[in-house]
Amino acid sequence: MAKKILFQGVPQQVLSEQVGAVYPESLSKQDSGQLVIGAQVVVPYSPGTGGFVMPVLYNTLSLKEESQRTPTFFKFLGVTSASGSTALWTPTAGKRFRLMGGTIIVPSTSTSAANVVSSLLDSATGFMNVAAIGTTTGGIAYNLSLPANGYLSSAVGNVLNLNNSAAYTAGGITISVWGTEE
Amino acid sequence: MKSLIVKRVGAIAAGDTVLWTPSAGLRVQLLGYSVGVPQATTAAPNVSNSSYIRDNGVDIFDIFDMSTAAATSVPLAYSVALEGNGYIQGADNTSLVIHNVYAYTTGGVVVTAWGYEI
Repeated sequence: MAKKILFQGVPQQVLSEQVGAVYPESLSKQDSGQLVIGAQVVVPYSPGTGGFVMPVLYNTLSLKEESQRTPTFFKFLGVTSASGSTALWTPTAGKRFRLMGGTIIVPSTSTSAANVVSSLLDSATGFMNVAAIGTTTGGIAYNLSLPANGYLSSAVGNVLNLNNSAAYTAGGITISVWGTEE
Repeated sequence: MKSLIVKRVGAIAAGDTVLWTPSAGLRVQLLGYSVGVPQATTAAPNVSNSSYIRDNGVDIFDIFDMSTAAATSVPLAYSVALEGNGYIQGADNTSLVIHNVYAYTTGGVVVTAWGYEI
């Protein structure tokens, strides 16, 4: 009996006889018409009804395998021009944010008296610059896509902040982000 | 493997412009989108316009902001690939729309979206 699942965004079916099978990273396998590539583990979903295919990532710091995440939280901050930090993502109590991707937009109509650097802060600690503009600027728009499971906040309860090193004198920065809480 | 579904729309008017209405009984699984803002895009004086991708009345992605009155934008174009399973709508039989807070005087935003219906 087959069970429809989503695997890396693509609807697929897993057969019950595949449950519990482990496909090592180096293996590509044609199985019941389904091409299986990469490190995957099929684990039970419900007895006799099939299972999930779980992509596995290897963490070289913890020396352990991790399940690949899919984003479930989507946050955005409208035009932000003020100097200093503005909360972008406040995780649920007892959780920490995991940043997986986002978009950054600074329209060409934005200006600053001092050159502004906009960055992301894990609570008060900066970990990523996302934009820099001069007194005149071209438009900035791009997709930030972090590899694998992205950036996990250093502590439970930390807020993901957007920080402008100085105020924009016109316009500002717009940012959308997504990821998980865990 | 299923083929991607691709939708595109241009939005200059205020309010909602439908981007993607899934087939009956299904919802959109958005895997990515691109946004284009042509050079001639302008907003009315004293209007700070914003455009969003909206799901069933809720803004999900802020895709463009024209934040200076009566200014003309230089062209912008960017593409977004959502990680993992992307963004899945909260309910069946609802549309993804482009929502402009105000109308653009000229130009506007052009959005192309891709994914599946599940």
